[in-house]
Amino acid sequence: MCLDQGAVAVDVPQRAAVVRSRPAALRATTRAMATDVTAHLVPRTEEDSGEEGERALGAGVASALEVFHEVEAACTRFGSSSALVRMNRSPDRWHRVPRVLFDALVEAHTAHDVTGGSFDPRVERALRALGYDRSLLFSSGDVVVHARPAVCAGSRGAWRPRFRHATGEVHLRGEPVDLGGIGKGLAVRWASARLAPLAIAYLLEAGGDCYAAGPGPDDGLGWRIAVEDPTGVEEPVAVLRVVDRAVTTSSVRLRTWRAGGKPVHHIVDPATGRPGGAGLLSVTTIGADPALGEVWSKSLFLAGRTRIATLARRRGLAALWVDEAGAIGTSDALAPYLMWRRP
Amino acid sequence: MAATEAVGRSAEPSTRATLSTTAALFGAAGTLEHAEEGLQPALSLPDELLAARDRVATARARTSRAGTRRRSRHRLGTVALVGSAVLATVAITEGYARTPLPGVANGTASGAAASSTANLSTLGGISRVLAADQKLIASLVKTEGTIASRYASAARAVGASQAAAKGAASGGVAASGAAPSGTSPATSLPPLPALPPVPAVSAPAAHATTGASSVP
Repeated sequence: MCLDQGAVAVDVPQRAAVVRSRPAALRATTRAMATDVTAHLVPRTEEDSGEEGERALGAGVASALEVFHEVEAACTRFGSSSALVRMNRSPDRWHRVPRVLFDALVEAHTAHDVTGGSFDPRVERALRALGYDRSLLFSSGDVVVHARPAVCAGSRGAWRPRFRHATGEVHLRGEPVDLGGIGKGLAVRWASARLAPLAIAYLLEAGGDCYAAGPGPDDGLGWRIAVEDPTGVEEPVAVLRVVDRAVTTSSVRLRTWRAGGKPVHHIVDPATGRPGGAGLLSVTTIGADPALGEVWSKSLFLAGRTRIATLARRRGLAALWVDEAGAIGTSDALAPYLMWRRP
Repeated sequence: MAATEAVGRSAEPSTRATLSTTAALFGAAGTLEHAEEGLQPALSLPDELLAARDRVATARARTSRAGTRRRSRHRLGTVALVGSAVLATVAITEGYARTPLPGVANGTASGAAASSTANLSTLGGISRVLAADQKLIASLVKTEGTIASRYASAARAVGASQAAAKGAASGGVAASGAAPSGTSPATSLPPLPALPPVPAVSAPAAHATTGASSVP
């Protein structure tokens, strides 16, 4: 736990660090799902004044950040202890799973239908075939894995898992799943629900996925979210201004490695079982829900450079994308949020 | 108003006599009031007076027409006289101008060639000066456009007033060395004032960044 000088420390669980750097703002951080998670809050000052108010606020923020650890524990496909790993080992039978995993699978099924099948969690075998069967150390430099010779074929038909809501049981119908395309968005959604009663404005930031609530901490016009340049340039490609909106990005800047002598990335097209999104480096979407935002950012990415504009327009999605040449594209629906764009 | 009183006392009105009398009494300068009075029953005049008046009017009209014709003839004559004089002058001048100069007409061929060479040389010099002037003008226009665009960029970034203030403050600084390179001394530009630094239109400060997720 690292506190800024002069900051007020509050009693919070071990895994979250809470810092009040200014009288009107509070920041809490944790690390989960291979990502640094940060919450910025503008507390309700009347209710949070005093030592007891501070303590309650800190506990609430820590509870919100704890959601990320809960989702990671239940939904990761790495290791051997998660409920999802156990279920994937035998996907052809019923499993009683934790509530978090059950809800995540239900939401994934909904997203599969909403996107017309372009989001499909049945890419677990394809990712393992590409060597992404564990947490790879992308930050250490070039990552090379021994991929299997045969690339797994894509999914066939609609995904139709079965749910028993009364008992919390799930049947995957024979195919293991990966929730990497929706898990973090769901964590942001559920953590935001816990933060909402605590603050008049807050920003929850988890790598590519953000949720910005309220008028922001400065001018009351919203939160300013910079969109990272996937080519590695320090200056962002754009700055967005949002109020009560989720901003999510799918990018291949970091999670790229070499498998079978070829460069691959983690956004796999369920139709082919291979990395998709030809010609694109990143896609950012703005929407009301962070989970659906993450799903749509990946679906748009898989559309590739040639089809992304058409899909975004047809779906009315606010989207910004950067192609391999560094060119920036935006949909019409993004215009209200675009505060600045790099020339 | 004696006339009005006289009109009011008339017992046998006559329209012709009334109109004529009104014209005789008030002339052509009669006002609206007079004209209205003329429509009232008028004074009756003897026939001799009427005949005499008619004769006088006829004589006046004849005299007037004759005068008008005389004046018209006089004007036309003046114009014709002046025009003829102008045409004659032009013809004489042109004829004089086309007359060969005595020196040239009677000089040698070498003298004419020397004169033509001198004229060509002068024309060549003028052409070169004109070309240099055109280059100078083009350079000035280009420089002005550059300055305008840079000022516009600065104004957009920091506000028009601040940009103008900066431009005025640094106007006399670093004047030397501002002339564009490659220009001859004859066409060198006056030193330009140093431009204010153009601030980069950089990204506004953000509260968070969305992009690739951090990795282990």
